[in-house]
This record gives sequence, structure tokens and C-alpha cells, in this order.
Amino acid sequence: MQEVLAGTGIAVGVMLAFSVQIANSSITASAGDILHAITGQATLQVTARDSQGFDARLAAEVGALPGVERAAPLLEQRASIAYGGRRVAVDFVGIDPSLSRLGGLATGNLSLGGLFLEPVLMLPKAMGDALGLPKSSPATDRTHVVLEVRGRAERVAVGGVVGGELIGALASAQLAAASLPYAQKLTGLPGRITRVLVVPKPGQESTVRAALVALGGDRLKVASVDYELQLLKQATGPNDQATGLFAIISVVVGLLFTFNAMLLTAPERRQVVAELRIQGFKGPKLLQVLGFQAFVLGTVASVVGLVLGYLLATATTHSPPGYLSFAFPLGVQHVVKPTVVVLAFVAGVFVTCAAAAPPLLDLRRDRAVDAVYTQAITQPGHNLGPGTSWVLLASAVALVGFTSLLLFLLPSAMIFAIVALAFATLFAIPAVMLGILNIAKPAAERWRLPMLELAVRALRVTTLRSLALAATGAVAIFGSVAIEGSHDDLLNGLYQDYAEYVSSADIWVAHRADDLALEPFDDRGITQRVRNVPGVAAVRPYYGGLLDLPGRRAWIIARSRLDTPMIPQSQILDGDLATATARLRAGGWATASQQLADAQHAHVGGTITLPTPSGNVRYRLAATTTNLGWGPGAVILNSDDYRHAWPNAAPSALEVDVAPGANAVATRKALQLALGTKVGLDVQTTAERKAHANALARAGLARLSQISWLLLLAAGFAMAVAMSTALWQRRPDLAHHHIQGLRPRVLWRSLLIETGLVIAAACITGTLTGLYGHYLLDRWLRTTTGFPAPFTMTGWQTAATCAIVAGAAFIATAITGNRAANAPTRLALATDT
Amino acid sequence: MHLLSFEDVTKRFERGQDGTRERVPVRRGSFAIDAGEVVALVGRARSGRSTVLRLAGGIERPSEGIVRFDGHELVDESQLGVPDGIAFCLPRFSRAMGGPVHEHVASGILSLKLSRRQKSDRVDAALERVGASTCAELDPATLDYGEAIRVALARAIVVGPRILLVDDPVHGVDLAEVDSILLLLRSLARDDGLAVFFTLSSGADLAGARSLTIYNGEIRGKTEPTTADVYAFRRRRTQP
Repeated sequence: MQEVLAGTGIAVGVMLAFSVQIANSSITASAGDILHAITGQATLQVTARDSQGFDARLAAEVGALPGVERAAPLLEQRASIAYGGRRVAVDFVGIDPSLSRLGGLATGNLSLGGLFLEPVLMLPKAMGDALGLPKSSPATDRTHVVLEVRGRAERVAVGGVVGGELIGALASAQLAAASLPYAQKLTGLPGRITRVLVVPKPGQESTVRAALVALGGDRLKVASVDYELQLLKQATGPNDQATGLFAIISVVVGLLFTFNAMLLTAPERRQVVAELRIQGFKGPKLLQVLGFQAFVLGTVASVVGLVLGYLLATATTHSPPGYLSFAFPLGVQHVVKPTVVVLAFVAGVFVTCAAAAPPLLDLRRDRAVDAVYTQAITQPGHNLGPGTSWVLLASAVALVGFTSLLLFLLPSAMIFAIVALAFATLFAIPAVMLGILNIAKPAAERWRLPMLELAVRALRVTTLRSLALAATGAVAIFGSVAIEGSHDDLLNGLYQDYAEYVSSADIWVAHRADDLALEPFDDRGITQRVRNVPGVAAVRPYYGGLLDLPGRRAWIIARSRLDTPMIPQSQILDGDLATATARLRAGGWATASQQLADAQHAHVGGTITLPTPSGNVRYRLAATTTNLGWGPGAVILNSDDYRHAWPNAAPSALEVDVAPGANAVATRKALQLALGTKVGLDVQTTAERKAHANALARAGLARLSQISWLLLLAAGFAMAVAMSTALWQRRPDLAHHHIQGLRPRVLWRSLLIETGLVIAAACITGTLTGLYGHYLLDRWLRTTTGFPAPFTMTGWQTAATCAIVAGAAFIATAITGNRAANAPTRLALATDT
Repeated sequence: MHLLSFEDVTKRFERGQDGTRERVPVRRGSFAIDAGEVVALVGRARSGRSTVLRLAGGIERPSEGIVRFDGHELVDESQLGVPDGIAFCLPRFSRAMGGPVHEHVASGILSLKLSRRQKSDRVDAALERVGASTCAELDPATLDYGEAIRVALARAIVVGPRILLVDDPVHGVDLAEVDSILLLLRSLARDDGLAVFFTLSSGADLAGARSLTIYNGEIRGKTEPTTADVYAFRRRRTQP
């Protein structure tokens, strides 16, 4: 049983670490594969600063630059495709034959499907599967899908669904391709492109880059093709950091489960070591014996952890987080890097060996062989040493102090801090346990509670075992309280942020599923049609989009001066709402996420510079905010300023106020009818939009949720197994008590009281360090990742976590304890004569 | 009606992985013990004597035959350690039961509804009765064999049993102490009315105990108590 517990701890740790690594690396790795499948030998690119793009003739100018070997234009827009009730968000790409000459296998083969000859869409297999499209269609009877892009909904033919044999990594991409002219027609952007890919002649890259910069000025962006991946990494960074940190906490907790499981067997193993020493075994031989046992256990458990981790990653991350798919071309492929596998395996084995090592301390010169036999107070092998509890408590306090100081000086050192806090939890247990027993003993005597007295005695004599149990519970509670608390705070922060963000209108008109309103649409009289619908009091165009700043792709929010609120109040970090709003309305001012302001060393009242399509524009900083739920950060300005800097800007949403007395849901229905099927926009009430965005936030944090749930499950399981194991070991002793006249029912009640005392120590310690960990995690999320995560005391949740761990322990005691208390009395008698 | 009786009792233990072989430590054993009797079961190691004692305590169940206590079949160990029940004396002291000797002796009456004072008095009386009062504050680990068996006897009798089972009470005991231990057992039977059933590896001097022997699972000797003739007092002679 102990081996099962130890193995479970290792497997859980390895599983969490491995699955998170797969999920995190899959997004960027698959995006990298897709990018290179398109770009081929191109190393440079010229991109537009907004989705309106630039004149397609620029591609010819680029191709004619000295040092340029080949150049190919692209038009990229975010779109959604619907078929048979299913819908997918895609990166809609218009390409021309020059792209196939860049050497990318994937794009070269797209022409096989007649892409450049006919007005059709080509879809990768992943999208075909997601939409449930038929495998193949004859040219005369093509499948048609509805493409919604830039506010238009068009019925288009699918030229083919292409698999990996033709287009390699692109088969798993979330994209749709069409010929450039057809794409320009569908998007309503005739003669426009958004990107030119460039292959410089050998040795000419820097010359070409300089020429491109001169050509584009500050209205276009020149970068390497891999820059997109850097931006993606940056965008996923905060989420990956948070997920990674949560996973590390889980791994630490899993490893401490392992350590505690090994501690449960420490008395027996110490006795074995002592026996072997008496028989003449020396240190190296003993090391081999214990090392081999640990190696086998670690190997088996790590392999199980790797398999479970892979299954978890593939089962829970079918598609990349929705919040990213509007900003980057992504894939749905799972990428498992060999280094990650090796690292997870080696770490699992190493930790098992480390956890198995404590009995080797008996090999020290000053440790007598009979140390495990002649303890006056405890059972053999359970001795902790006089004063050790207090030394450990002092170490725990020192670790907490060190953690606080470390984070004060170096906020990004959260991993070290949280590991230190986990160990502080472990170290505090002996003293807390001692304190509880010191209170319980006189209480038992004073109020004549013989069962409590018996429980206290039993806990005192099985020190290591009791401490291992309490430590398992405490570490489980610590991890769960810290992770659950900060996870909920993060979600609540996002909910609150979005609730304030959308509260400026009663109804929103935007692209379907575009919760951040990033994709512009051509008005074509849409605003006027909306205004004419009965029940509509006012309509305000909302502008938004993404803007590439150095090293990050920021979210730009441009709101009407009439919006209330213009800034989500709860997200302001520096500045006050009234002043900042007044400044935004006045114009020339913007708010920025703290990390954006920090990157430009700007403070409230200072200036920040944005590289807009009309060149670099400076704004004064009205306030700093959280990242508003978008990892790379966000900027808010008024819509007039936006249109000035983004001259071709189109609205990405319409904010609709409902007339007094009119019903929002009825008005929404009327609006949807008025827009008709040719307009590819969705109409949502604020509540519906909020619900959708909240679901998206939950999906974005799904891995965090999974980690916190897994940790809680693992905690309950670890506690149940640890408790069962410990009780099962005590059957001979309980049988002996039975012979002395203690009824099984009495023994069982005493065991339940023991469990209560152990759980009390676990809950007190785990809750205190868990809440502190929760506070530190929230602080780290706010300061390092920029996410809104206001700290709130999670009383009920902490109680629920304690209840789950305690429940698991009590259920195990109730069942296993009952069986152990009813163990046959012959177990107490060693001889068989 | 006897206090304890074995009626054609056989005990088998399966041996070997497939359970096809067996060991039979008790074969069709029959004997009886009454209150106030001291009975010694003498046998060599592996003769089955400890198994008989376990059967008598209900710790093992017979494969065949019946073990009765106070006329009722012993179906489990439920009579162990209870007032008016069976006391099984084991000179082993679990640290979970306490520190000094008096706490271990008190463990037998831990769950009885007695006041602290009453419990303390009973512990003192039991230790006094077995001649171990001086050990009350000692750690059981420091006791010698003779002291340990006395303390174990005190722990066994503190609850007030009707029969006391002791497995080899003189094992490891100093030779000078052996007689006094056996006399103590005799005294517990004679003066306190307890039935005492104990095992020995040799039958040197049994202090007047009725003796049974066991060899290869077969119990021999005086298997029935000797009943004295009873004469009724004449009424007129009992009155002044």
C-alpha cells in the first residue's frame, strides 16, 4: 500500500508537469510548423499595422528592391466558417502563385486543388473534420459553406479538404485559403494585402531589411517571419507562466506526497537498515539496496505519469485557447518534445530516490545501530529527536520570512517562493502536532475522555507515521487552497473586468464569438439599419483591434466619448476613474496596461508612443490598468483619436442603447432580423455577451481549473491511501489492545479521534500557508503577468478543501479503521505453537 | 456446568501454497475447567499448547468440536478482557497504551464507566495483588521477566475476569522466581475464585495444579475436575 501511495504521488506530479508542458509547447510549436509551412524560405516580412492592409502594388515594389530574390503577397483576415450547424474560427488567407515559389511545401501543393483557378476555399483536414465536411466532393457538386468575414456572410464553395500528405503541418491549422483576388473580393478589400513575405538573396538580408524599412516608413512594420512566433510566445506567456507555476505547485505537492509516503515506511526501512548493519552490510551496499528499490518505484510511477499526462493533455486541449485564435494563426496539433519526456521521467525518478534517502541518515557515524530499537517514548524507528520539532518550526518561520523578503525584492521569483512555502508547511507540522497533543492530553484528563487519551497516546508513540499523515493533509490543503483561491480570484477578476467592459451598452453587434471586438467590418449602411430598428435609442461605433508593439501584440480599445464607463473601474492600477475618463474624452490621452507603460518607462501624466498606421503617435497616459484579460496588455483611447491615427479604420462592433421601456431581448431579436442573413454579424445582449466571454475566460483558464481539480482529487486520494495504509500497519497492535479488553468499537472510535487530531494539525498548517500562498500567487499574477486577480479571502472554499481532505481521511478511517479494529486477535500473537 | 470446556476439539492449519498440506496442533481434545481451579497444560515447543490456549480464549476457532465458556459456545473472542469474561495474559506492553506500568494496567479498564478514583484504586489493588506495587511508576521496558509477568497478570485481572489464561508464565523468569509465580497463580485461583489455565514447557513443580499434557496435538491427563463429595449441614446443628 505504501508503494501505491508513493507511486501515486510521483505519477500525479509527473502527469501534471508533463501534460502542462505538452499543452503549453503545443500552441507555439504547432504555430511554428504552420508558419514555416507557409513562409518557406522567406526570412523577412512587411506587415500592415491594421487589418485594412495596404496597397497590393507594394508587393511588386518590394520584389523589385535590390537584393530581393522573391516576394509574395498575402491577405489575412480573421473569419468564421459555418456548415451544418457547426462553426469554426479561422485565419482566412488569400494567396497568389508567387507564394508557392517561396519553397514552402504546403503552399506549393495548395495549387494542386485548383486554388488559383477557381473561386473556391481550400480547407485543411482539421477544419474539414471540425465542420464535418464530406471527405471529397466532385467538382460539379461541391459542398458550400458560409464564410463570415468583415461583416459579410457569403456562401462559398469548398474546393477541397487537404490532408497532411499534401500540405504537411498546415493540415492541422485553423485556416482557410483562397486565391488572392477571390479573398479580396470576399473581404471587400479589393487591391489590398496585409503582408509581403520576402526571400532575400544570400548575404543580402540586412540590406533588404534596411530597404524595406525605408519603403514602409513608420506606417508598415518590417520584421523577420519568426517575429509572429515571438509575439505568440509573448501572448501565451502570462497564461503559460500562470499554468506553469500552478503545475509546479502541483508537482511540488505531488512530490511531497511521495516524500510523505516514503516517510510512512521510514520506521520499517530504518529497522531494515539497522538489521543489515548488524549483519555486516556497509554503507555502499545499503545505498545500492535502497537506491534500487527507489529506482524501480520511480521508473514505474514516472512511466505511468507520462502516459496519464499525455492522455490528459490530448483529452483536455483539443483546440488552442479561444482568446488566442482571433490574434494568431494556430494549429490543433499536440507536439511532444523528446526533451520534455526525458526531463519529466528523470525528475520523477530522481525525486523518488531523494524521498527514499532519509533512512540513510542512520548511516552517520554518530548514529548507533540500536537507535531504532531503544527509544523510550516512541515505537522503534519513530524517533524524531529531542527539540527537532522546534528546530523545524523555526525553519518554517524562517522560510516564510525568506519567502516574503524574496518576493519583495524579486517579485518574479515566485517559483522559489512557493516551493519554500511548501517546505515551510512540512516543517511546521511537527510543532503544530505537538501543540495539539499538548492541548488534547489535559483536556482528555480534565473531562474524562478515555478515547481521546488513548488517541493522544497512540499519536505520540507513532511520531513519524502521524507526522507523515498530517504532512500529507497539510501539503494537500496548502496546494489546493493556494491554487483554488488564486484561480478563482483570476476568474472573478476577468468576470468583473469584462462585466464593466461591456456594461457601456445594452446590446452589442459584432462578429460572432469575437468577444474582444477585434475584427472590423465594412459598415455598408449597417449602422443606419441598426439605428432604424424600433426600441433602439442610440448606436455608437466601437473600434478595436490588435497592434504590434515592440515584442508584444497589444489590444487597442477605442470607445466613443459617450461611453460610460470608458475604463473598467476595477482594473485601474494607477490613476482615478473620473480624471482618467475626463482625459480620455478630452482626447490625446490613453490608458495603458502597467506592463506597456513600464516598457516605455511611462507614468500617469507622461507619454506613451503607439506605432499606428499613420506613423508613431504619442498619447499622454491617463491611467495604468491591468492587462484587461489580454496577456500582452491593452490600451484604451477615444474613438476620434483612433480614427485619426487609423485613417482607414472600420468599426469592430456597434454599441446599442435600448430605449427606455423597450425590452433588450426583443430589441436584439428585431436587430438580428433587420440585419438579415447577408450580414455576418451577431447581435447579443450585454448579458449574453458577458456569458459568452466568461465561458471563453473559463476555457482560457481550463488548464488551471484542471490542475486545481486534479490536485484536490490527488489530495483526497493521497490522504485516503495514506490513512488506510497507516491503519492497516497497526492491526497487530490493535489486536493486542483487543486482547486487553478494548472492544473493536472503542478502538474504532479512538482511531477516528486520532484522525481528527491529525486532520486538525493538517488543516491549521495547510490553511495558514495555503492562504499566504494564495495571497502571494494573486500578487504575482497582478504584478508579473498583469492579469486582474484581486485577493479575496476564500473562507468557504478553504473550508470545502479542508472538508474534502478531512472527508477522505475520515472515510478511510471509518472503513479501513473499522476493519483494522476488528482484526483477528491472533495477529497480536507472533508465535504459532 | 463447567466454566470452560473443550468437547472433541480439533484444530487444523492449512500449510503450503495450495493448502493441500495441514498441521493439526489439537486433535479431538476434551477437558474441562471449573472456577477456582488451576490447570497446567504441559507440552514441548510446537506441541500445540499455545493453540489450545488461543482456542480457550476464542482467539482461534476450532475446526471441529466445541469450546464452551460458562455453558455457551465460544464463537469469537468477544469474552476477552471483559468483566466476568476471559483474561488472556500477555507480557507485552504497547507504548500506545501508556508510559508507566500503572497506565498499562489501567488500559484494561479504560472503557469501563468508572471514576478516575475508582480506576486508580482498582489498578493499585491489582498491582498489590500480584506483588508488583513497586513497579507502578516504572517503564515496562525496564522490567525483568518476572516483573513483566506480574504486571501482565495485574493488567489481566484488573477488569475482573472469571478465567485467566497465561501462556508459559515462567518463560525467561529467574529460577528463584518461578515458584513464586506459580504460587501466585495458585493463590489467584484459591483466594479470588478465578479459574487459571496456563501452559508450561516442563512439568517440574506445578504448585498443586491439575496437570494436562499435550503431545502431537493429543491432550492427556486428568481432563475432568475432581468433585468433592457434598454433605448437607443438618439444620439443627447449624443453629445455636
